[in-house]
Amino acid sequence: MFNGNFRHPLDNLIRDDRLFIMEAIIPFVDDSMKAPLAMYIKFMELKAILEALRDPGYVNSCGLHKDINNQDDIFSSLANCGLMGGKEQLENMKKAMNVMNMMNRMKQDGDTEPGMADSGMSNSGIAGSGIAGSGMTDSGTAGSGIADSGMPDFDTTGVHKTAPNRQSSFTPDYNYGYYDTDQLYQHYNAESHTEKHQEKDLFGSIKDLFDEYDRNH
Amino acid sequence: MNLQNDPRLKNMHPLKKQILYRLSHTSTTSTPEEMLPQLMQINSELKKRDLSFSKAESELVIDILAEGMSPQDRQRINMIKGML
Repeated sequence: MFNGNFRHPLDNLIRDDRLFIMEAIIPFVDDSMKAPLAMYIKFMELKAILEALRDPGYVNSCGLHKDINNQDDIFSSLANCGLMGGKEQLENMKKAMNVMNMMNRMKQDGDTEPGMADSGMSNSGIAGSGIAGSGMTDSGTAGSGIADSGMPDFDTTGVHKTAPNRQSSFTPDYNYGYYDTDQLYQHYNAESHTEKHQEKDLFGSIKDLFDEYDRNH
Repeated sequence: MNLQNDPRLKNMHPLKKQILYRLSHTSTTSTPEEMLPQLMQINSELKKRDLSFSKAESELVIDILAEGMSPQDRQRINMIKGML
């Protein structure tokens, strides 16, 4: 929906300010004169716009020639027309586009597995993401605290040797008894683990799990 | 988030399950834009070990992390989830 406080891009092409002055006085003329005056103004504007569009140099100088691959220009144009719902929404759209760019780059880096690395999006040709570095460092967290859970060996093909009534992960099997014996679930839902702790560095918070896995495999 | 009866955890590899349980007990202060590279890093580490989160598992991870977010951030992360 339009936000009425905007300037038509085509208005930039009109060199004759008298037309804008005439438009400004429409509210003050008799009702019977409003329609004829409006028609005259719009006709003169159309004539002025068509004359201006014949001059590409002038069109460029009025900012009517932009690169469609430049997302900033696209969003700015839409925002100037009041179509972006405000600066905040414009920023949100930019951030979303940056996320899409990053996912595209991750995909191009050779991920072929479906899932988080496969956004399924074609290259939009949009410039760099501008996402701040993740700043990931080793959070220095101590060991996971999980005592030997007695987990069975797992080969990397994913066969869960102890899963009762194992089915494809796409076939729901509501064997509720399985979860009662899930030692991991029991560990993480013991009293000592009910409180959530704040963490900025997600990867750092779980790095020890990878280290432990590497030690055991 | 109650992961007890989530069918997506049913036959999940224990390392991935540990990661999910750990994340479910972690409240992040990151924005969706800061979180996504970290999730990519986690998936990249899993790939080194011949593992990865499937699309359904990825959505579960995002659902877990979105729990403590503001409605605005949750809206943005749902947008990201829609791109998976």
